[in-house]
Amino acid sequence: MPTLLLRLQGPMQSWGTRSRFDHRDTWPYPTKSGVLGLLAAALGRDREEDVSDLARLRMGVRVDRKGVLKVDYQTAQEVLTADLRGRGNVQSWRYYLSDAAFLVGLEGERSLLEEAHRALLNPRYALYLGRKGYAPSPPPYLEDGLREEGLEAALRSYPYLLPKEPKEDLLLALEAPPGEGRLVYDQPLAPFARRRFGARYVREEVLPKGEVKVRVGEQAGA
Amino acid sequence: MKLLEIHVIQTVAPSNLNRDDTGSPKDALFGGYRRARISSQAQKRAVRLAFRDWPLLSQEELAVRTKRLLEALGDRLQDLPDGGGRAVENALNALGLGVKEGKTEYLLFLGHRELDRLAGIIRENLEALSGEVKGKKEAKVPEEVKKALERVLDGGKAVDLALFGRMLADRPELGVDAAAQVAHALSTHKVDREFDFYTAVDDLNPKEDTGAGMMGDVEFYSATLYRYAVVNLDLLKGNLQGDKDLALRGALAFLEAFPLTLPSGKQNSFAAHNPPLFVAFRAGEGMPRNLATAFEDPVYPKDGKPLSALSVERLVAEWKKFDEAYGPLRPEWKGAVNLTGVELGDLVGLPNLSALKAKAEEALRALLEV
Repeated sequence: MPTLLLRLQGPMQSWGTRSRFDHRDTWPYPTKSGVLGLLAAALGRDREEDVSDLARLRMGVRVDRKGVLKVDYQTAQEVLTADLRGRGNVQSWRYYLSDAAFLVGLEGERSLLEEAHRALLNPRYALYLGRKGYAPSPPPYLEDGLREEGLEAALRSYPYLLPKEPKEDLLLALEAPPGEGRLVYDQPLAPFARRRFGARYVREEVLPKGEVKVRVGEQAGA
Repeated sequence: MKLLEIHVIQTVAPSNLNRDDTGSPKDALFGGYRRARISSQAQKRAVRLAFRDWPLLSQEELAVRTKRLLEALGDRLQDLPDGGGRAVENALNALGLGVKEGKTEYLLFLGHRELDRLAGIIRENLEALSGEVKGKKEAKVPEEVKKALERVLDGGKAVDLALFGRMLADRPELGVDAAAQVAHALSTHKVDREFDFYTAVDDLNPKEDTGAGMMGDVEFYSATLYRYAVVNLDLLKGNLQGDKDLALRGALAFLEAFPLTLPSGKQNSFAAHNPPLFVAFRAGEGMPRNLATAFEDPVYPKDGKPLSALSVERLVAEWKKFDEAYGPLRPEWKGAVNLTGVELGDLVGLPNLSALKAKAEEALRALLEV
């Protein structure tokens, strides 16, 4: 089955899996819910709309640069307290990945991938990397992003996203059959407005740096 | 999507405009180096305040955050015998905005226009809304009046609400998706931690006591920042219920406020009021693109040129590179005010901000079909 490749790169990104209230976490690489949300935004799907076709795509990630975990400390003033009796100042800690770059693959039905590929070039809503203020740079669209190969082959064979050689081996995180690998709670079960997510298994592998194609001095996909 | 993008290069003198919980100026890593950072949310707050204070928009085009709906509506119905008293309360109850001791239960973010129209409907349906409240039971309100009231809560065409969004956990259907996306500002170069060590002298120290009254330090840095924002014009128009004129004025207000505002952290100690040295807009239909990658390799001062000029050179080159790779917007308008003297290529140079606004207005009129 064909695979659609996306580049998720930018100064800041965040892919939360269990954020509640004031502490907002990030997973070390993009989550399926986050990536499908980005595709839904490109396609112009409202949060109330069905995304089960997108949820059926099989996702994999290649970590081209893992970035550094940092925290954005935020405050909001004059927020009404839960008992409505007074106002307080709220603090919030928003974890993010600084300087990371990921190659994401989605394997599935050709017509859906073609539609998504077109939508990335002229998205209906502005795209972002996990939080609205985290704008991608360069864009997620890869001109040669629609590949004939399956997920794993496409992720292994696509050139390194950065215009230099990788310094270390790359991590591959591939969606796997139940029971294999680690559990991630990021599989959308309903329209995004309902915020219902289930578990998904992810198998992690190492791609030796010697096997990675490199395009020195050239921006991949451009 | 139809979009309006703003790109800014701005050099700020030593300052600490946006701090973390330890008082240090915020930072991020980019391209492997530490950069100065000003968060998205802090920049947006500065824009919201400018809308209100400069003012760029009239009060009725903005929203208000209040629990005192009863008072706000009473003011609008002063001429009625009891200020609309019971009718107002019944109307709010019908909307599910329970009234307790003269206030609604939640703090509501409502457009001034939403309030005006609520008052209007109450006035028109005074009789139907004047039912007696019996015990804990709510007065009966006819279904069509209830529906008319519900329809009012649609964002009220408030520009700040349309640009920055709202989220109500209890009534998600009243949520508004923000039409503006503002990136965290990053320095185009690497920054190092700098500390201002200070001592405060006790004015009444006796001569033989030479120690300081207190000591401390303040962290700061100076930075040439790249700032980026994009407005989704379709979404803005949609959030403003298809009011094209208001969408036009809102987008122009944002175009004016965004480059000229910054958060105000520690400005009494630093007074880094440095306006941008480069402001560019790009409008049309297609893919938004943040040009931060121009600075992934940090800029170093060289050839006697300032960081700001070198940053603009980089930005213009990246712009051109992306145009070649992904094509321009279709159609496309662009222009830049540039105080650095750098050659802009086919990016149209404009003499001042009003010329930039005029050029952007031409684009927005075409895109919004005004």
